[in-house]
This record gives sequence, structure tokens and C-alpha cells, in this order.
Amino acid sequence: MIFDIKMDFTRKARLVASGHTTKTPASTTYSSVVLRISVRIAFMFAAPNDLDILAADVGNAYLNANCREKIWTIAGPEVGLKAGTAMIIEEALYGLKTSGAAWRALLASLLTELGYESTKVDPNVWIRPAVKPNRFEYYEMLLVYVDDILVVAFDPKLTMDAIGKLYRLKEGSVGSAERSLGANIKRVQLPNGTMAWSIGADEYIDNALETVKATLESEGMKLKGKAPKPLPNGYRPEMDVSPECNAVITKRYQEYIRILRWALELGQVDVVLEVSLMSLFNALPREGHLEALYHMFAYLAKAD
Amino acid sequence: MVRTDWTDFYGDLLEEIPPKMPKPRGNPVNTTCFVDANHASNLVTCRSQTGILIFVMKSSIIWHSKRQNTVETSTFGSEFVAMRQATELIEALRYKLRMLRIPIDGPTRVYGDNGAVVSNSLVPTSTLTKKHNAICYHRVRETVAAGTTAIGKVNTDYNLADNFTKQLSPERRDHLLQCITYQTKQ
Repeated sequence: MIFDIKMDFTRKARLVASGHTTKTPASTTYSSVVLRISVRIAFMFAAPNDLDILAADVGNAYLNANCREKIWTIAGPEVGLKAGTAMIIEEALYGLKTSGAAWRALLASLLTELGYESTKVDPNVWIRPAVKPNRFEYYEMLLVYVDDILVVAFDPKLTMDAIGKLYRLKEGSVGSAERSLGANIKRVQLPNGTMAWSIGADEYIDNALETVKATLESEGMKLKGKAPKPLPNGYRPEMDVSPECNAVITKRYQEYIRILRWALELGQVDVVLEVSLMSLFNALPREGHLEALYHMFAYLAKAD
Repeated sequence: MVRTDWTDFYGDLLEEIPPKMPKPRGNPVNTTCFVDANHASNLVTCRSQTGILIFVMKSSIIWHSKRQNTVETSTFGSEFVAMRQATELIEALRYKLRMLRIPIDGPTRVYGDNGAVVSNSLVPTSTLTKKHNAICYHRVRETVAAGTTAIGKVNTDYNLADNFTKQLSPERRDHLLQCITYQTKQ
């Protein structure tokens, strides 16, 4: 199945199983991801302890794990002579119900072997005691977001290599974290000379703006050029009495709120209040509310 | 900040340390919190808006802006509700930091701009009658007594959470944002 065609027309393809055709397994299918606040704490933690951060993606992560379900399929023509025979699925294919949990358990066993321990407060933050060459005692942190791995340590390369030995890390993905979950990550120097990391939603907002502009353009409108504040001057969303939006527009409104909320999570702190105010009308927005959202996007476009 | 004696009111209260807390390592971090509330900002329901901004060292970790669940008749009430929400967020954050084995340096410094709320949480002998306000009141004072938080007053001009509760003028917004990003990005 082709599911993405990249800019240079190379095709990204992946075998995906139809998980919906299997019965819900009795064992657990739960697989959690790291909390955003843990990520923020990890980036914060690196600065005062003078640690380095390294990120990597595990390529085709799920396929490393064994399938937990008993499923078989009929081989297609791509296997040549044996086409038509029944095959038992061994790897945790993308799309199966238990694959997420299977991969997580596999990675967990490797991390335990490496001496890492999952923390009680966030099971996807792993830590292990470590000592710097200058005898400074600290804990290394390792954060897991499905197949994205983030290591905070004095020498994070050691851990990364250990993981890289077992699983193929995506080429070019190993490096100082620049993007994580859609956020931009930058290294900055504080006034007192310490190196720190900053997190922001610039690129995420840029991408969102493109979509918003395209939608507006298809309706012959465009974003306002001037928006000094996120909401129009004196605008009180709760006093808006314009007609209610229809189902299609409501959907769009909810989509925009979803985008804005994610931008907030990534660090767009300047519109926290405004998004909170506008979220109140998520269930039944009025046309004026949508206008106000466009105003907010215009503000974000300018603020960039 | 002066440490007041609370033993007559809350006994030998100490901050609850998670059981089996692992031994922290590394350099300790300090935490700072700014709280604000906008009384009856919603013109339809007359509910207030809470704004909270929590820093660990110089980086903002939690930013929070939400409409309050109760209708408050006074600014004091809404500010105290906000203070309680901040207290709960702080406790959660401190627990989290502890479980991640990051050492915490002293109580969280909490800054609010409402004088009455601040003095009420700092002066042991002050009292209160309204029930849900009284709950917020005790909740906040308990954490102060336990040494989890240390509350202080800032002038509204310096309250970094101001922007999370009311729509401000572009100049004031920019000023506050600069303060926040100075702490985070520089």
C-alpha cells in the first residue's frame, strides 16, 4: 500500500494489515506514549546538569516485534510459486491490534537489559543512574514516543548505539533533536552562558497557516493583513449572536481548535487565553466565532 | 520570604513525599509559579478565568488558562480558586519531578497579585466563612504550612500570568510575552 508520495516522487510504502478483520484479543492492546510535560521537563533538565540530547527514529519499529495474535493470511502472487498457500503472520504488522503493545514490550525488555528503569509517574520515561567523568552523579533519561527515542545523557551516543545494534535506526534520524512531535527544538545560550534548549511551534504554525490560507482561498477570502491581538479589539465571544454554523463549518471549526490546542502544547503560549475562550464554543460555534479564529490565525501569521 | 509558624493551625504538617521515593541525583531545580484570575470575565455566565504559569528553573513547563467551574461573587473568591488550582498543579509537578528523580530546591515560589489572597494564605490567624472558598483557603494554606509552596505578592504589572486571564492591549501582551520568552528562549 502506498500511503505517502514525497516531494521527490519517491514512494513510501508499507505493508499494513487490516486489524479490523481480527477479533479483539483478550490480552492487553494498550500502549501509552510519553507525556508532553515529561518532554518539557527532560529538555529543561539537560541544561542545569550540562547534558546532551540525542534523538532517533526506529525504522519499521513494529516489525521488530513478534505478533501476539494468531493470524494467517493467503499468500498473494508476490511470493511467486507459493502463491495461494496459507501463511502465519509472525511479525507485529502495522495495523494489527496488538502490534503497538508488542513493540512497546520488546523495547521495554531491551531498555531493562541496558539498566534503564521505567518511572512510576510516566512509564515512557526511562532512567538509569550514571556518573560523569568528573564523578558527578546523575540519572540518564530516555523518552519513548512509539518509535521516536530521545536520550538525555552526558554521552547519549552510547545508549543510541546500543539500541542501534538491535534495531535499524532510520538513516539521518539520529542527531541532536531538531523536531519532535511537530515542535521545533533549538539550542540557545542563556545570558549566564549556559546552553539550553528551547521548544516552539513555529513550523507547526506555518504548516497550519498554509492549510487555513488554502481553505480560505478556495472560498475567495484571505486572512487579514493586520492583527495586533489574537482576537479582534473588544470582541467578546460569549456575546456573539451571529447565526450558528452548519455541520460542515462546525467540523472545520473543531479542526482549527484542535490545531491551535496542539500548538499550545508545543509552546505557543501567547494565545493560551484566546484558545481557551474560543474552545468553549467547540460544540456549537457561530459564524462570528469562526471569523475570530481566522483573526487569530492572521495574528499568528504576523507574529511569526 | 519569612517562614511563619503554622503548628497551632495545621499541626506538624510536612510535604508528603511519595513513598519509596528514589534518591534524586543531579543539580537541584527551583520552581516558580504565577497565578492570576479575571473575575466574572464571562459576560453570560459570570464565571471567572484562571491563568497559571509555572516555571522550572527558567523554562515554562506548565501554562494553563481555563474558565472556573463555580460562580464567584468576589474577586477574592475567584483569585482563591485560582490559587487552589495552582497549588494542585504544583503538587502534581513536584511529585512528577521527584519520581523522575530530579532534586527540588525549596518550596515553589507562588506569586499572585491579589493582596487579600496572599495575606490570607500567609497570616495563620485569618479566617473565612464561605464553604467552597474555605476549602480553597485551607487547601492553599496547608501547602504553605507544609512547605510545598511559598506565596508572595507581585504587582499586577509583573504578573506573568496576566495574559492568560484577560485580553490585553498589544503593548502589554508583547511586554509580558517578552518576559516569558526571556525566561524560556532568550
